[in-house]
Amino acid sequence: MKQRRFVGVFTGFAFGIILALATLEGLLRLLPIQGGIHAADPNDRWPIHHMEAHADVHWSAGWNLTNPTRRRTNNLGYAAPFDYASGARIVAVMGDSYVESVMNPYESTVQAQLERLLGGAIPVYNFGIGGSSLPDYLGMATFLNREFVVERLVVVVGEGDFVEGFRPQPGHFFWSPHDSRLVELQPDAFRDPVRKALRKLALLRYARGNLRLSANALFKSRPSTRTSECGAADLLGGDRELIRGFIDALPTAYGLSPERIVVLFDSESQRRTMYDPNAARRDAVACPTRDGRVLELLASEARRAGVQVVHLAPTFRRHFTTSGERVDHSPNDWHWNAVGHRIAATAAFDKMGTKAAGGHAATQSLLRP
Amino acid sequence: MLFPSGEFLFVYLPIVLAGFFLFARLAGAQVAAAWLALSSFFFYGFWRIEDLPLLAGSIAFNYFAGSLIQRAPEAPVSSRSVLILAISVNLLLLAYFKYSNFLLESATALLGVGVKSVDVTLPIGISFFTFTQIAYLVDSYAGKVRERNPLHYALFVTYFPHLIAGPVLHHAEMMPQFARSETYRPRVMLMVLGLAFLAVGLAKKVLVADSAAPFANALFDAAGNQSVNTAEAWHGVLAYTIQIYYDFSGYSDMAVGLSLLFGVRLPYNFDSPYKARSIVDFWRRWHMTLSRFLRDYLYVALGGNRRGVARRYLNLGITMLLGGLWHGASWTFVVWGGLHGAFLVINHGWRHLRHRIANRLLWSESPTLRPVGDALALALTLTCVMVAWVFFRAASVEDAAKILLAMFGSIGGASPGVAETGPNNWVWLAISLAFAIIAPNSQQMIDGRLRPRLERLAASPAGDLGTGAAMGATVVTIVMLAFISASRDVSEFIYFNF
Repeated sequence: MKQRRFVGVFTGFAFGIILALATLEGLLRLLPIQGGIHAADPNDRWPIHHMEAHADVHWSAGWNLTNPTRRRTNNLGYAAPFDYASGARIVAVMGDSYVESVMNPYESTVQAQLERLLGGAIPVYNFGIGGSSLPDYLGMATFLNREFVVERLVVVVGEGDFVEGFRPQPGHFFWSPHDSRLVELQPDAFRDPVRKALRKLALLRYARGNLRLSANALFKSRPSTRTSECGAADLLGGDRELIRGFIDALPTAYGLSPERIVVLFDSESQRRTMYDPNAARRDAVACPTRDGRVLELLASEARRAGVQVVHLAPTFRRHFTTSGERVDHSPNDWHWNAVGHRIAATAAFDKMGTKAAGGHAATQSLLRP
Repeated sequence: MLFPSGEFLFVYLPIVLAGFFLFARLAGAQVAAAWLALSSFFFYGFWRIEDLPLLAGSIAFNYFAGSLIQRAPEAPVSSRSVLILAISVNLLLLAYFKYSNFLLESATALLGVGVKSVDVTLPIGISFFTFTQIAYLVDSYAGKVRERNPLHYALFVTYFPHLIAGPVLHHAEMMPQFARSETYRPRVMLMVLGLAFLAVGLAKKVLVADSAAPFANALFDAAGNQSVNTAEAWHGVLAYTIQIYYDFSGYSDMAVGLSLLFGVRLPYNFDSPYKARSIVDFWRRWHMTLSRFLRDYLYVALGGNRRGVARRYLNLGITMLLGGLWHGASWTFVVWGGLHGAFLVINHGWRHLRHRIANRLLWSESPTLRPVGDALALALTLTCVMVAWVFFRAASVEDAAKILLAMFGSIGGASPGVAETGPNNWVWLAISLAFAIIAPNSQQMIDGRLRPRLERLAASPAGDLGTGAAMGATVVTIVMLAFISASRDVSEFIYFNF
């Protein structure tokens, strides 16, 4: 009798779990959860990581699905509402998820706003893909030059972009351990059909995309205690050489004179401090990190080489202090919002030295002499 | 280990629960009780292992004192002396850990003499386990309890569902449950109900309290540095009103639910406090076990209402002031307690007056005016509670005054850094508050509505299958809520600070 009861309860328990999961799956399919990253299979023409061509990209942030956005990829698998024309003369915008910007309507992105500022006479193509880092921005030059004529280059650099370059990821460039080369491409991988099928499950997309679930997150149990002491933030041997090599190689790789390249530096930690009303009282400053020091070095080396450099933090701060308007989707999501993208686009445009000329004259100055 | 964390829900709880029933089956109830007590010590030590000797010492001391009091006729000293000494030791310990710096700072401010502060960290849950044990000592003195088993006593104090933030328990309502043999056998019905309480509590904490917290924090953090405008002040205070209710009642629901998994019922701590139509009613519904403690062991001990109206009001004031101070060593808590004391005195005075002139009041019997009067009473009570919450949450009395000025008149410009007070946020806060005012509370939903249905289901031919399915579905809900909790910054329960 006891055993029969146990079997009954246990069977019901399993049935209840399956029923609840099925209900959740159905419910989530009706809601604007993240669509997940539908990475394209590798191909020889474009062996770097990109999304499936002409596919829908659904985005929303956090458990409560804030800022739901729908975008589409183009023929090359980048988030843009138009196809990239082979052989076109373009302004290229490189970066990670900030440039990919699937959390904003295309018209709000730095590339769209820059194109508008330029009078629309030269297309601005973005090659932003989440997870990209400094080696990608250099390594992709070969493929961009093969397909397009890059007239100007805008690179958005954020925190982590240097150190992330040491981790080889499929379809991404990384800092080469060999002296002969600065960066190397980690060959992209074909996605396992089982994983592809699993990624279609709404429950999984919600857990991985919206909740950013990981074992670390699940098993943290204490609030992060920010101490006033900062950890060591020294450059490691070879960092300086890598950065010098990167900045020297960048113009050559794209076949551009250095002043045709604009590097926009962003700092999420400074934005976090900027919004914290107690920051002044606590005399809070963002802790220096190895990555931060390297990016400082990158900025000074870029200036030395004649590359245009913009630090966005002071402009963001000025804007927030005067208007009270945030430049990102925080606190749910720290990616720039339309305001942040507009500020970045204006800063890039100003550095291009074309503000006064405007319109067609601007376009002329963009083209190579 | 926070209740919504992965390490608690997916590691600690299953191991402790399985161990409890396994030991009970294989080795007997005593071993199972010992396992539960040890697990509770581990739970406490996981927070800060340095505090473990204090908890163990406090339990040993109070058990010994309680035994002396209970053996009164044979004891070498009078039970009254032991009681006074033991309560003094408990209060001195609490004073040292919780109030020493507050007292030193206050003395410095009053006397103008610089006194160095003491380097002391507040042991988590000290206010709760101290009060629980003081109640035990007083009940022992009154002859209401007798405890011969140190293991049971240790389990009563450390029992992990209530150890950190209550409910404040009476020995008499817990020990008979630990003594019952059926407690040590898994009961499907209690488990389903326990899981339901756990899910509702988690939902309150994760979906509502943690969502309201950023709005409240933005206001109270900003108040120390800049001016705030009227809309921002109301927005932030409303957010805190929602946060503290859903946070603490969510914790209490989780505690009740976790305990039910072990077959032990804990007392309810909340009964829809924002439905209260007076402050007296509010205190019957808010943190009910603390109110009960303050009434039974402080207000009544001071003389209660047995010594005339004036003395009754004075006793009320003293009780609430000390109740405020119990929450934290800060003048803001003293003001909060004082305000509630004043509200209670006014409320009692008004009741007295109304009783005398009731027949002459227009609305008292009118079927149309009465609901209006009730709504006004609810709004006034809620406003008073919200005003008091400003002191409860603010970092200083000055910050609280700044926010109150902003709420009631002083209009400033928009303040960068204060949370956006867009219409969506207002609507969300209004819905959360309306739910607290209109909807049935956890015990009404689960004990009142779910339980009879489950019992009917259990009695049906597919009973086992049905209750099992209910359990499975609730487990999925709990796991999902834990995932959502993990996706956000870890936020402790507000009452863990007390």
